Amino acid sequence: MIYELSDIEIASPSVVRQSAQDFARALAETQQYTAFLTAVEQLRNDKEAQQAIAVFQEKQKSLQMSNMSGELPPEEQAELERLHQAFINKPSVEAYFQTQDDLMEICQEAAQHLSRTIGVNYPSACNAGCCG
Amino acid sequence: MSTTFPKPLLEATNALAENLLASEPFIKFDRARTELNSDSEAKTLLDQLSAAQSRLSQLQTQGGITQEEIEQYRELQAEVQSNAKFIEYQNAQQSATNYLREINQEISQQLGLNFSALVGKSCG
Repeated sequence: MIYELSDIEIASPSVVRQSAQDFARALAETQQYTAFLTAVEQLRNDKEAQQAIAVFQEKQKSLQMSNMSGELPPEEQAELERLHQAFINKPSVEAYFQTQDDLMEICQEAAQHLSRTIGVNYPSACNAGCCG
Repeated sequence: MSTTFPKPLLEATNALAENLLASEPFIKFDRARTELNSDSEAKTLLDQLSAAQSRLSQLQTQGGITQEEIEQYRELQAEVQSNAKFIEYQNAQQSATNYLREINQEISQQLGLNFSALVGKSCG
């Protein structure tokens, strides 16, 4: 059956925008969102963790500059790995990644639900590019 | 939905999905999809293109694609792309996608985080 748009009740752009804002508010009220924000704040204020991240990034950068091609010597690889472990094992860094994973899990679940209902894949539609 | 999915978020997700479906770009997209699926000429062309794609990938793995087969495939592809119902469908799909991106921006702005980055990559 061919129908005209005038025969159908259309949700106005302002109504859809409002429901998008309501959705964002509901997401912001979840335990996962508040835990993530807390973890971000704690990481930001953790001077030791910030220092460990900076040292790792500095080392990574200097190795990239001095070794543009070819593999890293084993001792440099081991040092980089040690510095990486030194920052990812900080409690505030662990909490940051854990709460980020938890938040992503409910966001993905919500996006899957949206995709199923509207018949359009939300991640595909809203993320330019794919796999890096 | 998982048992841990918060009820207020589920209700807000449902409301957003319902309003998106009732928005003009999505209504037009739905109509274009229905019309494409009920158009026998367009449907035949799409089925032929899909069969040709499968055949080409099969031949590619066997290493035996001829120039003639590639030409035939390209002709079929051009025929599909010039089909009025298919063009209408593609345009409607693009409009719905653009609209969804606007809505994603609205969510991200309100949230203070890029929502689409939190839902992960689209592939895989």
